[in-house]
Amino acid sequence: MKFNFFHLMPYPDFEGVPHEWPVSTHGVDSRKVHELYRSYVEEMVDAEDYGFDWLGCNEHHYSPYGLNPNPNLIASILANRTKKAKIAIVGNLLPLLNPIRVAEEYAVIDVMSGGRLIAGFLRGIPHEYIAYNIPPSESRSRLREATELIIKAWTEDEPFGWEGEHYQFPAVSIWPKPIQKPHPRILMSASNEESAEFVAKSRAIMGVTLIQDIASAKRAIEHFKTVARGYGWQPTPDDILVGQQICIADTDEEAREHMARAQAYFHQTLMRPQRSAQQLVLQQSRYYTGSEVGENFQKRLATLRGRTVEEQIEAGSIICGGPQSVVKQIKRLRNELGCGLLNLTVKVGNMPTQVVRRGMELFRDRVAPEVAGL
Amino acid sequence: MSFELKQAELSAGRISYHVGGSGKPVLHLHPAGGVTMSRPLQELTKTHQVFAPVAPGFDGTGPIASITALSDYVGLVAEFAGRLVGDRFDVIGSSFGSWVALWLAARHPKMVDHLILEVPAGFRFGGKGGLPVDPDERMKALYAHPERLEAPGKPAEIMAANRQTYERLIGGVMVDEELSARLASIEAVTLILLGTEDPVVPPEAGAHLKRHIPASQRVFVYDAAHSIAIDQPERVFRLWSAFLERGPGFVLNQGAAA
Repeated sequence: MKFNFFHLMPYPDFEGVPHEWPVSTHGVDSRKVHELYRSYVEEMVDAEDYGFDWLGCNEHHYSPYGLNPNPNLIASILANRTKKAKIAIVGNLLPLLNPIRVAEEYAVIDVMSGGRLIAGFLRGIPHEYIAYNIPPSESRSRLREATELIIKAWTEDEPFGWEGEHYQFPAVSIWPKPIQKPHPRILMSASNEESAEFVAKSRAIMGVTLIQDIASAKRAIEHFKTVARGYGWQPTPDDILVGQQICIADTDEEAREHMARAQAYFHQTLMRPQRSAQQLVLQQSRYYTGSEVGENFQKRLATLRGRTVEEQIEAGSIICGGPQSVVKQIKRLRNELGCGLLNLTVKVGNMPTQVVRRGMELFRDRVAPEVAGL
Repeated sequence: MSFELKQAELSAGRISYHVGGSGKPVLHLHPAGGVTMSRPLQELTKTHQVFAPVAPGFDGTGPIASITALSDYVGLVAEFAGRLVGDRFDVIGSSFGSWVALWLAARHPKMVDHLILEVPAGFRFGGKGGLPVDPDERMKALYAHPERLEAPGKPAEIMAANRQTYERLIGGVMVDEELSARLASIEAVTLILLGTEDPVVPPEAGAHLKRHIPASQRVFVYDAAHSIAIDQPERVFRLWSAFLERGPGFVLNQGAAA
């Protein structure tokens, strides 16, 4: 089994409760953010020596939720400072970006890292479309076209042009091409049936996050496998990534206390301002083709918000506890979901650095030895 | 669609107003220079019924003795709106008109549905901003593109009277602290429009309003001085019309479906 040390890079010191998205930066000291970047990058670099197989980050805009509007910047540091871990960008939000620029930056990271890029091609969460003024109703068609264009840009040695629905480039020949051939592994989200189809068709790693319970995650994975078989391939555990928040402490009680405090900040401060903006996009666009999918997304978020730490552990939504409990919870995910990849958010909300660091030590010394061979 | 100039009898006296178009009512409150039938305002009459009262003493109208301060004029506007415009309507204010519109929305939160504040006056923090006295500097402050002025300027005596009335109504206030304290009570969804080349309204004013009006959004109109509707009529109308139609959802790009 492989583990992604995923860093959301949150802003942990927001004062008060943000009531709208985009969130004002009033009172935010960028010198403090300078220290945060240093600390977060060190955690990610160190994670390689703590038994994590991948180092991951992603893209978010305009809020304290994540200080990473362009994860490729962080990935380029990791490519340079680490030796063996995969650099998992999970991911660039393709519909918001210039796909040729993504192809180029991803290729540079793959080359700089010696062929260690995992290339996340994500659609993003609904409100992010406002940030770059992209029509949410075009999110899926943009994702499809951008994906094909990027693969073409990576794999075609001879210059070519592209005349598409959303993108027109009369002449393309990116330098350099990625080291990994035919191209780096692609990772996409397949949390619902709408997206599973395209992920399976692309033979990408499927990612599933915000798990409400094991049964619903299992259904999403089984659906993906069925669709993949229709496209002539059989996904293995290495094709299935499950995302979880994690807290490992010396005892179960300690871990639960840390997680409860960190999640309170996560839900009440980091997630809160996005709710009304998400609602706006879901109500006024065709971000999800079926209205029930949009409702499910909101319902899942509300369900997760309303649960205690104990209930979340029981449901399989988070991993939390002392080392022994965490090993059990990881084995349960492996056995019940058949996933070979875990995307672990180690810094949850405003979880203190020393708690994160202790969790990393416990992972290295007492968890990884028990689960790496699964 | 053209405007008609009419008069209304209110408790304090007679007031002139322009009215044009049909559709959902919009109250337009003019700047210190008086009423200008800008292109956006004329365009708006295709979809809305626009009421544009003339503050007594402006544009050659006679003063009303009891209207001596801004708060008196706000009361007059509220009465005018209640009688002629309706129980609930949208409001667009420009500069001085935005100041009046803010008071209206603060005093009568249920009256105002969508509120658009163009280059809002009333918040000259640190004495920044304001109209230059020198005529050339004043022209530059008002227009980034004076060549886009379509109507000839108003006669000097009208402009002088407008200026005098404006000064009398605002009473030398640089920062309206009382209004500032009431911004949080504004219930209307609010759009604040600022010109990137506007030296009259300092950027701090827009930031202050954005921070304190609960449901507000702020947009900078590029390459526009204080008279943003003259400098960038298409951009301003696009913003007006999207905001009046979709409220806070105007930020959502609707793509080909639009």
